[in-house]
Amino acid sequence: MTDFPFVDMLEWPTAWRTGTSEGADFVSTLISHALRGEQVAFANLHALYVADIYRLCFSLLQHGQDAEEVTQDTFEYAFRKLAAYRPQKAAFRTWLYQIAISRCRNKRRRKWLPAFSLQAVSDEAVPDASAPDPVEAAALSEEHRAVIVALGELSPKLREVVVLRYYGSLAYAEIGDILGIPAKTVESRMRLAHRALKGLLALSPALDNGVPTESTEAAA
Amino acid sequence: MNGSAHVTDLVADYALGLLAPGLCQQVEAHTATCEACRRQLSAERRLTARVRVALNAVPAPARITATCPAPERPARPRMWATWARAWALALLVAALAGSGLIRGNRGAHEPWLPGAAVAATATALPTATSTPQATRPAHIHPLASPTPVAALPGETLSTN
Repeated sequence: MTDFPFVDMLEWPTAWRTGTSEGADFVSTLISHALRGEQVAFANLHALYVADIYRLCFSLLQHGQDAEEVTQDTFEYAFRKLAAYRPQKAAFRTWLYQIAISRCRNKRRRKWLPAFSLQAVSDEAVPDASAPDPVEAAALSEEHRAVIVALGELSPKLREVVVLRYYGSLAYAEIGDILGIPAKTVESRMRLAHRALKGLLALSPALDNGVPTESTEAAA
Repeated sequence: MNGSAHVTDLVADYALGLLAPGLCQQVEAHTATCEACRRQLSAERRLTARVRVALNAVPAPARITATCPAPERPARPRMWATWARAWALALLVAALAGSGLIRGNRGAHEPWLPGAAVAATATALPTATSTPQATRPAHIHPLASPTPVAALPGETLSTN
């Protein structure tokens, strides 16, 4: 049995992420080698998608440590269930997204369990678990952080749609398949989310507020 | 401003890729000539681009790219284990048959089966009313047999 060579990031087919046949072939080759138990093929798949999945999880959970845990869980599950992956049903990345979103939901649900602050029973200062990690906060620019914070203001359902559309660049039907809802529902959630984001980011200087209104049109 | 009606309500949907092809053409034709609607479309597109760029700018920590979860080898059916189990079962049956614990034609005169064999054959045994008392150990009571009730002095037991 010959092991699949570890492919350096610079040598990846440029089309792998765009879903073209060249990229799909590369990924399916990796998967078939991984199914034969070749560790290097697993390492390649992990290297190919780990940052992608982490960003997705971070955007949904808004917390670096949680996103790391969920990313790790996602790959553990995906590698364990690799034989169950059906390429004719969805792209490998879409399958990973589906696993990651399900785990993000579980993580969020667990965080909603009734809890009380340790501050109530302790005199010592207790760090706020929901506050973003200062290191990761510093890594984002002011502009990007404003967008991430605005995303955090959306309901989880709207946030999922926005992240899959804007970050994953997925079609509405594909988002519907991942979330288990009709494409029309995805579209209406997208409208709501877009409107909400427009309002939340309206005061930010990066957004041009030159949208014509009835009064300006009448003046024109 | 041109002569056609403004497409303000359609512009956001157009930027989000939610419009049918016919309506897309209408928006494109109108924004080609209407400065106000073109500005609105530009603002919508800037918003979507802004969110897209911010989401892609989230840095992935080096530690997650450095550690890959150890993959498990795909489980293969272990033939040797199946054969070993089959041989062990065959040997057990042969040993039991050799020791006389399993017999083909058990008659009413044969001794009571011990332990697990009793449980296994319990349903096949005759009912308590028809089982001869002699074939059953004294400490085992038939299931359907009521405990005899002794009459108290001066009391008459009813037979019904």
